[in-house]
Amino acid sequence: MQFRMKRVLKKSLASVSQDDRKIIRRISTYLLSHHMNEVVYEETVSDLIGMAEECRARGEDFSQAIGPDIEGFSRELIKNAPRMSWPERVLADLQWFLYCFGMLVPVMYIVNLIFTGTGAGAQLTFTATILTFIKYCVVCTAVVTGIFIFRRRGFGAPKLTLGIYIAVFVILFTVTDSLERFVPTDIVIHLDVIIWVVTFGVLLLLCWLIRRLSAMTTAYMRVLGQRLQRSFHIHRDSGDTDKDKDNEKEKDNEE
Amino acid sequence: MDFDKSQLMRGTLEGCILKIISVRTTYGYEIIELLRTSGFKDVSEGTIYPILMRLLRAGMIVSELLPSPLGPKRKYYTITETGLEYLSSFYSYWTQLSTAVAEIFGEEGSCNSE
Repeated sequence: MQFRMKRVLKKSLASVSQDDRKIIRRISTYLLSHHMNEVVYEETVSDLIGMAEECRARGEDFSQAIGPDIEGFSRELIKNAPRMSWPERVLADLQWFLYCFGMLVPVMYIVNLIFTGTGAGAQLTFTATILTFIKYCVVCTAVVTGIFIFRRRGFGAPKLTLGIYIAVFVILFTVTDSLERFVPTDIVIHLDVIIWVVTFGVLLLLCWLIRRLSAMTTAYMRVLGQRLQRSFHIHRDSGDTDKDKDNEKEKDNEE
Repeated sequence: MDFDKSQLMRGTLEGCILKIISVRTTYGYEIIELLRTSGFKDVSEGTIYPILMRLLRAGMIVSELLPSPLGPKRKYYTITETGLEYLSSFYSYWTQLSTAVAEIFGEEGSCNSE
């Protein structure tokens, strides 16, 4: 789950022109929705911002530099970049769900407070029937899947994925509508808003931390490999230079 | 029917970019300039950036961020041992291929069947 770019990236993105920003945002949305490794994603966006800034400094058009086929460009990037590992993907999706369900009780509490005034003075406790609670969970699921569709929409979601999403929506709403027959409406739940928020907050933080560590491990293993190769390359170059110097000395001695 | 240049360009460009980087450590725009002056007219950042990423991922080149006179830091690329090996096999295959193509098309480069 990446609700926002890193602050540094956001700042540098603000420095490019609006048209360039639009292109970068389109590309970054595509990269995110196709599960690019988080650290590599940040690196790519930073490269794109740098590219846009250099184009502006040279008086060139960034959109021309990228080319008219932004989708093709993004696809090429995805093809050549490391993806999220499966634990990262699971954690990323789990974070969305945790966020939505974490919002469930505070939002419901505020709604109740505004429209019915039931929350007022009753200490921070959310009270609702089990049916309302389940219905809200269904809405959350719909919102989360909707977000996935929205994020893929950049260049058109695959038809199969869209079909599955629509089918899931229909099934979910049909099931929820018929729930009234099976779930007793008199069961009421009482939840402490503070405990709920803190619990979900901690879970979200843990999720984010593990995912970030995992992404960094994947990305830095690559960087480590690069560094090793570079040091090997430098070592080889310096070895060659020494050899050249030795040869030159030998030639001088012969002369 | 128009000829789809992209397929042919992709593999060829990869080799050419590696060759440029093998000569000296360089950055994206310089590579583009060199490619353009060599005759690759349609080349832009959008074409070479994914290729550079692919080469980076394959460990054929390494990158380093260095200050630039034009503002943001620039990514400089250096070829690796793997890249050099790849480049040498690319060049030998390219020579073989271009000889074969020249043989078929003839010296005038005519494509008319006799």
